[in-house]
Amino acid sequence: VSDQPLDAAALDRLRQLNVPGEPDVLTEVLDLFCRDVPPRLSRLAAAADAGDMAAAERVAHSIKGSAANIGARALQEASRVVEDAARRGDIVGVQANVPAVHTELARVIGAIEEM
Amino acid sequence: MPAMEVLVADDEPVSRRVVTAMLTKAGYAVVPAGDGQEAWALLTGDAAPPIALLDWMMPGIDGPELVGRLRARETPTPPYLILLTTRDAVADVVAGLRAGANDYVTKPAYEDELVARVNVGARVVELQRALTERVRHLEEALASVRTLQGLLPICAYCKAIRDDKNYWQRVETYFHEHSGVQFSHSYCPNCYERHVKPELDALEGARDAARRGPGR
Repeated sequence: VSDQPLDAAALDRLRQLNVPGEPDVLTEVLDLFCRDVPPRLSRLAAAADAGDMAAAERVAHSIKGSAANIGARALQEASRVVEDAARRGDIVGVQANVPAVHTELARVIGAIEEM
Repeated sequence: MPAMEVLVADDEPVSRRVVTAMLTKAGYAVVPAGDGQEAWALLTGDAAPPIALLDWMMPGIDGPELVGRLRARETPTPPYLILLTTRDAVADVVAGLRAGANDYVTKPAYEDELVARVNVGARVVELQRALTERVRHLEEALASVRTLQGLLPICAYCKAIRDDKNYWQRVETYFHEHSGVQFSHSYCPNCYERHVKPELDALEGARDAARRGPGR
């Protein structure tokens, strides 16, 4: 896992998806990420507090997927840890690892805002 | 020719947007679906996209269940189904293929791989369309050939044939209408001896008589 919150190669791959005359794909995808992932993280935290492991697994899985698409490796890994704990029904493990997802998401959004 | 439609079903908007961008760039028209229920409605409706990318994990109806339900339907044009799955779920892939998926792509998808696999799907869809068209033509041809089978009432003297509307038709007309066969008129050796030769002889005789003229 690189120290950078966003993997440059993944961002380059998104840049290459541009089609002339269409909106910039990278900008759109990053905007969508910043709009859509924070509310999902709130749902993950709520599911963790409520001990709803099925919901926690599903939401952590979706955050992991979004992170993978923009090359946010550390966030991807942090959500994978939560997803795996939720699948095992490990409520303590889920609750212990949700803060790392918060930290990594904040780093990713910070990096996106600096771009 | 309009761009081929591909349904992309994923409840995760970032993945859906990226996959959509990859397919749009490759010239496909993407039909998005936010969950399994919506995908099911679109794939069973009128003008359903012929290719579908279905995420494995979706609320409501998940990818494998969607595949199973779609394969349980009787349709002459079944969709080409590709499952989207995470890299760490290789065992799931076998279950997905057994359920009736044509292929799978691991997430996050790489542009080249995803497009190559969807292109394979597009070729299969084209082949299937060509075959369906071919079968339709053959069925039409078969239907007209069937009208030539069975018992045909034929006149014992002039050989006219009675059609299903109770009209008597010349044998050539009847067969032409029911099979597209065309006739070229000729004569067989027997009829040459019995009909043609006497007529020619009679003609010859008349010409000789005319040449000799009335002066003799």
